Amino acid sequence: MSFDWGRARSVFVAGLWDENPVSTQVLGICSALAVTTRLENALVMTLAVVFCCVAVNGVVSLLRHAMPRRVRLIAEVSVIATLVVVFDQVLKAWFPAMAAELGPYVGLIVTNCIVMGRAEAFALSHDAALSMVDGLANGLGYGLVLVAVAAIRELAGTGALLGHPLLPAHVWAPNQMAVLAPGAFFVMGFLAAFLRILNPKAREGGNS
Amino acid sequence: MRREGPASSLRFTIVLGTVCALVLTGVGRWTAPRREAHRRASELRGVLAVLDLAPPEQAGSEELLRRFESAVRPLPAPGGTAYARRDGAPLVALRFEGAGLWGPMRGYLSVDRRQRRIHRFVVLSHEETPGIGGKVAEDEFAARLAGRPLGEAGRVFVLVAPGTASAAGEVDGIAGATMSCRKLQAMVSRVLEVHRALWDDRRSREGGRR
Repeated sequence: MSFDWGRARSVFVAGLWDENPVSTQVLGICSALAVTTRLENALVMTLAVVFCCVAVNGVVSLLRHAMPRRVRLIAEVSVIATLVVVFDQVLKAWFPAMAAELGPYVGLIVTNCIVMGRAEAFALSHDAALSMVDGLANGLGYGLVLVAVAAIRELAGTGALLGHPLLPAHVWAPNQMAVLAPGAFFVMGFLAAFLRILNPKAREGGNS
Repeated sequence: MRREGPASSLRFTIVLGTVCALVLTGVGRWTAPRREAHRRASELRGVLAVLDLAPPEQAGSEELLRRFESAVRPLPAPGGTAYARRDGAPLVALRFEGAGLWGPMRGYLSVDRRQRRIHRFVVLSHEETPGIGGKVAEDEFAARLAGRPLGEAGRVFVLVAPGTASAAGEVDGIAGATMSCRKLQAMVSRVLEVHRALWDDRRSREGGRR
């Protein structure tokens, strides 16, 4: 069976932009708020979520014809948890500094609504290749918002980006609120509103 | 998706669970040597760092071990968690470990026996919230602890609101990380009290005169 590039492109654009998992579908908010205190944390988290979304969607899609309906959620969680732990172990073994930076948040990808949501909404009803494209798009869409929020919060909260000071003290007094939880909600909310203004086609609940 | 009875659901669940368990076991065993090597290397780095013997950042595990064995000697302490320099410098490295706010935390601190002060402090691993409680592991917080005098009761420092530390024994806390700081304070106070005989020269001399 040949790969439908046109369909793949529309699935990719939907996951990345039109149906962005964070700003449009409002999924994965917990980790999106928690790891965006620093831009480097957001970048590594993006990598982790992209891997998990792609791998989980691929595996769930491959198992979809053999999976009994009554145990599908248990099966999906099992697959997600296994792949997340595999990623965490490999990260700790080969990139210990990066693993230390993220701390507990790699493990918390198991509870990320995006991973389970896309497995349930897309991978169960599409072939593996297209499901992996959907996973890639949603992972990158999550990362897009994460990086934007993290850049704003780190810059406003510390005057620096990726640890490099950008705003001198006489120009900008670091805003502690931006680094704490309430600031995360404010930034996320305004960003989501801004993205919806930019993209009128953005719609919730749309399954590609 | 298949619509079948409980037996097929149970069969599928057992097979999937077994496969997942095998994958996790395999990956765990495959990565265990490297993870253990990293853990051991971080311990060596921690000891060398607090004893002012820190090697270059890119030093490999062999160089770390060579430097550790040539420059550091273990001190008699429960669990072998205290070290000193072989050249006689008055620094004692102590390992602290305990429960942070969200998970275990461990690290090393060194005490200057002559001046009765904390010399250096490093957190090797923790599970605090990155960017908030995780700031206890950063150089900025470690710098706040360096040079703190040690009181008679072994109390290391008093946490105060950020920006208000004035007395020698006061340390600026971290906004949003009060609990993490207090957990760390308790761990450090405990290890100093347990190993007091190793760093409290004054008490050792008074004990000798009695």
